[in-house]
Amino acid sequence: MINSTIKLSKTMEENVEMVKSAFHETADLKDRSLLLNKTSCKLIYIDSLVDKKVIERNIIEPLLECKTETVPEMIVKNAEYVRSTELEVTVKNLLEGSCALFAEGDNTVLLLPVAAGEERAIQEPENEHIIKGAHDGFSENINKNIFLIRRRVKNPSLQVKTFSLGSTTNTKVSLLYIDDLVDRGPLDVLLKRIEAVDVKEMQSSGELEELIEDNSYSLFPQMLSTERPDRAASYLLEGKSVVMVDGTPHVLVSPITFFSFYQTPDDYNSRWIIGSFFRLIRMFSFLMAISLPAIYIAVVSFHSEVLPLGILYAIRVQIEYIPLPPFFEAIAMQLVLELLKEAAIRLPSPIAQTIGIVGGLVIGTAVVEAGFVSNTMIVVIALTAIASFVAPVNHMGTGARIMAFPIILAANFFGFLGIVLALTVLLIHLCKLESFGKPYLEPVAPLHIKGIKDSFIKTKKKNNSLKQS
Amino acid sequence: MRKILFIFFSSFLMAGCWDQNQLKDTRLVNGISFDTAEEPDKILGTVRAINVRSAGGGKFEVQDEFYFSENETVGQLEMDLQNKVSGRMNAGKAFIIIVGEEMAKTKGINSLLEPIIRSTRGYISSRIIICEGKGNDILSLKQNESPIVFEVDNLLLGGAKESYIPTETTFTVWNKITDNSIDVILPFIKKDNQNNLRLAGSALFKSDKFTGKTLTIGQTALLLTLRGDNKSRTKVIIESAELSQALTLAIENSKIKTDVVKENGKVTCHIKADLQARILSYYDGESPMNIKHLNKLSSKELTRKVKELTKILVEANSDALGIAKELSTKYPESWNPETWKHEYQQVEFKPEVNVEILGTYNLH
Amino acid sequence: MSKAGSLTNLQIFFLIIQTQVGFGILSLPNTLQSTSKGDGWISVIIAGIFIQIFLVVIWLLLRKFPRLTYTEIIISILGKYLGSFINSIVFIYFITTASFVLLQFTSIIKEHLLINTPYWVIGLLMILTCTYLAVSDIRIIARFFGLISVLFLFLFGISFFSFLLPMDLHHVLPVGTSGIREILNGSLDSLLTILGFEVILFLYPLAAKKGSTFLKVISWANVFVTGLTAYFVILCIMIFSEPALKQIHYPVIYFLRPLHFQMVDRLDLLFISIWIVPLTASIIIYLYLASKSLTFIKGKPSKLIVANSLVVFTLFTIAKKDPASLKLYADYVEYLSYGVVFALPCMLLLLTYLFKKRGDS
Repeated sequence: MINSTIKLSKTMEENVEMVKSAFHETADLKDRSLLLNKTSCKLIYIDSLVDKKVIERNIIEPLLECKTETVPEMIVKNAEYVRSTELEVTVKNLLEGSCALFAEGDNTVLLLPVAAGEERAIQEPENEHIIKGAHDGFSENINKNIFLIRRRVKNPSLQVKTFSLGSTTNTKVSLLYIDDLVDRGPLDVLLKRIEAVDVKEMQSSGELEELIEDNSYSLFPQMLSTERPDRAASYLLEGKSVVMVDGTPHVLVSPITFFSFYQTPDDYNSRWIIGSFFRLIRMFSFLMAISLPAIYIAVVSFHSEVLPLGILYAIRVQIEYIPLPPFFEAIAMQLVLELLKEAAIRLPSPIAQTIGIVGGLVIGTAVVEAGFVSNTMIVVIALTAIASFVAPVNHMGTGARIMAFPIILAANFFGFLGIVLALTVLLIHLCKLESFGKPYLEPVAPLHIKGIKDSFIKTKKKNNSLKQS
Repeated sequence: MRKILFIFFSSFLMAGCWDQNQLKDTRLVNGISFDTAEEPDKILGTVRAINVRSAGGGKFEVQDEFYFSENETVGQLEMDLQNKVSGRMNAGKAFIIIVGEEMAKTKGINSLLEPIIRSTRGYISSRIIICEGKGNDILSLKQNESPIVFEVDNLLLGGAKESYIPTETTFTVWNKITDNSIDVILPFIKKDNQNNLRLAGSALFKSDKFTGKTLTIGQTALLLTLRGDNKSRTKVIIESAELSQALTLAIENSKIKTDVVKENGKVTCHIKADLQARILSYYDGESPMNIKHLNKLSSKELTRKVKELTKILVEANSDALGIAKELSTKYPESWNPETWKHEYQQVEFKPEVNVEILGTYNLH
Repeated sequence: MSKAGSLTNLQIFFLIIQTQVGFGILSLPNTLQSTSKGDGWISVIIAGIFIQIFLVVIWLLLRKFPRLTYTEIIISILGKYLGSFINSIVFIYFITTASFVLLQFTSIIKEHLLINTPYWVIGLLMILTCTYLAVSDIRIIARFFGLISVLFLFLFGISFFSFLLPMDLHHVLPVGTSGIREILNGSLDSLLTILGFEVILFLYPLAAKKGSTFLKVISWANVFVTGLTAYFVILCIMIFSEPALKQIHYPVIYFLRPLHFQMVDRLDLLFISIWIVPLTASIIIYLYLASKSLTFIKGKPSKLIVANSLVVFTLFTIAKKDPASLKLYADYVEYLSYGVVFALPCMLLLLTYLFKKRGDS
């Protein structure tokens, strides 16, 4: 990299050469010569990063029209500018879409931001749809994202801390929190961990998450990534902090608990009884997604006694001519399901529909008719899949489906005992897990009765004039 | 930690699964019967097992198979039958146990139930019934056709719903037999000439042996009412010379007070039953209905019926009303189970039934 | 390691009840048939009262040393050498109890769920699961225990279904037929069942609220456990006839077997499957306490616990599994518990009064 001690010199040509060599003579580094008050100047910019119309209108035009003796910053029409004597700053600003104005005989450079505004408009996030509530979403531009938060939380104690991570990519990372409300302990841990990050590249929030989370072996995400500004804002108001990475529409919320992954903004926007009902349904869906195939296997391979007569005979008739043991049946169908899902995600939607029909209807029916898999197993796997897709955060649903595999294995070897012990291990793991020093299962373990009100169910919002945040 | 996990998984993958018992490989037994065999001291055990056959195109046909064996104990029977049945025999859902008349009289049912109660797989909510003749004859009906056991089960279901027969399961029967303070009554079924099954009332037991005496459907219903075991409205028929046609009542509420008194070594049992009923059918061409009169008439008739019932119970030496239980808790100091066997014969029953007709439904 | 004052009242409550409720309750109604019969529930309540007295004794002792664990109290009262000796006995008690619970647990599983699976496999599965939690901090253990206490609601819920069975009050009536002697004998039997309150010996320095609040919490835990045990005992007495109860090993499991519903059959299998979790909880806490009573061995606590688990598993594997030996082991554990849980705290309390020792000095 560039030696940070290099200062600019008094000769303009030398300066320009220095910048050009810092950029390894790249082709899109353009320069334009100007004459301002008889001093020759040079404007340097990276062609691909700047808006040329802005340069023409706001910089070149005023400079050329100016007849009086004055410094350039008084003439240009930019809202902000930086004057620097260091090469490193110059290069950094050029990379962020500024243009640099060198003047002969001046050892400083004027840096003017003229970044091109080629961005996605604010759209509703594709994978976090809601029925009722705000329909805007974060985009790839970090400033726009901070704007979306600021617009929701109009409070002077909303703090923004900015870091630059990745020695090659120089990605801008912002940490947002509300100073009056934030939980200091986890925030300090988070700050320490972000400061300790030392990598070459930082492309997305997912990469950052892996670097700073507590336990990267766990299947449970320890930071919540969301594209919804309303969600991020509501977590800020709960005293959590939000990390944004430039170039990713997903922001990271921490510290987070298990139950947050099963909440959506919909709960808060609908009637509280309905909201509570759906929260309970979602929690139930998690249990179902991880344990339903295992329970089925344990029942048909070990404890068929637990089935009452009617169901027992129905299942017995279905599985009569199935050559595979239920364990392999379940594993195979789970894998088929994952394949279908993977295939459908990447394809354009018209083809994805075909995959759905071929996969779901044709394979599903044919595999049963051919006698490879029983109808009951199809029902079980389909229910499991649906239950896992209920999770409002995609990571959690996929995690649940993966967790189902070891539990299926345990059920195949030890029946109910295996399931119970596997779930116990899972529960112990959850109890041990912490998100930035906060217990992952709060408020259930450790138990706070008050907290439960808002994690499992959603209670009525009270009109509280005494408490002010 | 990871090393432990590795050992953990590899050891189990290598060792395999000991207890796997695939439902697919099991042959589900749905009915069992026990009878006396030709040879003395042997038991004739019969099972009906379900057999699934593919009918093509993903459709299946369910048929029943029939196996029997003669052996000395139930354990031996099971071993022998296992070798006859194709696939693993699983009696974990055998929901009907039929015991032949002779078997119940001579050997008793306790030794038959013991293996079911002991085993972890046994189905102790199964129903036990006593049949006229041999249980084998009933289980062998309609072979290769619809499972006969389901027919029996439906028969029992209907009977129990209307409180015509007692709702005893293997567990409750065993629990009561070991208790020795109340005797069980079990449903009694018959097969007629056309090979149709019917409920014929209940079989009276003394301890675990069938006494040979049976109660009719009506008497069983009355007994269940007196024990307070009636599930729904019990129907009773009142016949009297004063009525041109028998009167049918449905008992809606019953308040039974059994009072056992022991004086000078003599046990008297006062049964006071207050029944509230509605008229289900009544036809008399001449006189209009007089509720008060009918109350009196049916009280008298029912008291007579209860007397008749208790007489049968005493004759059969079956303490189906649980007098022993009352006595042992009321007079624990003078309670002696040994002498009770003789004392029961001397128990005097003093029933008193009061019927109050509440309503007559649509017609007056 | 854990900072002092980190366990809330509720967590202490759950830690105690999870330790106390274990395998014993499953067979207690059967055990009581040989003594107090229909009055078994009175025996349980008497045992509860007896334990309450002991809780007060232990509390009086602990109150004098609010910042020391039991191990440190013993050493500070009895001196280094005698104290270490006594501590090793306490250690042996915890290790044997853990092995005994493990042994009982596997025999229950083998009798009901997995008939052919070898003992060592079930034991190994169990001990691995337990070690995974036991190596963590007590606060994490407390979190887990609080979480699984929800299962008691399930177990209660399942037990309510038993009201569908014919119940007979005549088995309980008339109250007191077995005589005071037999009832007291019965409470001695019940004592072993509700053993496990000794966990409080190690909890006091960790409690957030000490003093009388602590006594209140442990008393409520005792009331809960005694109530739960008495409830199950009386339920079994009412359902089963006396001779039947005498024959059935685990009446608390068996009474769910005759129930059947449209959706599910054999509730007993579900009941055991859920009951596995409180059983693991008991083993976990004994493993943890065993490592706590060995403070004179320096080393990483997690390594010590793994070593303890190995010892427990070895003991479990070499133990004979026939019913007669099980009875023998039960007696050993019982005698050891009289010494460690009952006699030792009394003695220590007496000594503190004699020598006027205080932990604060």
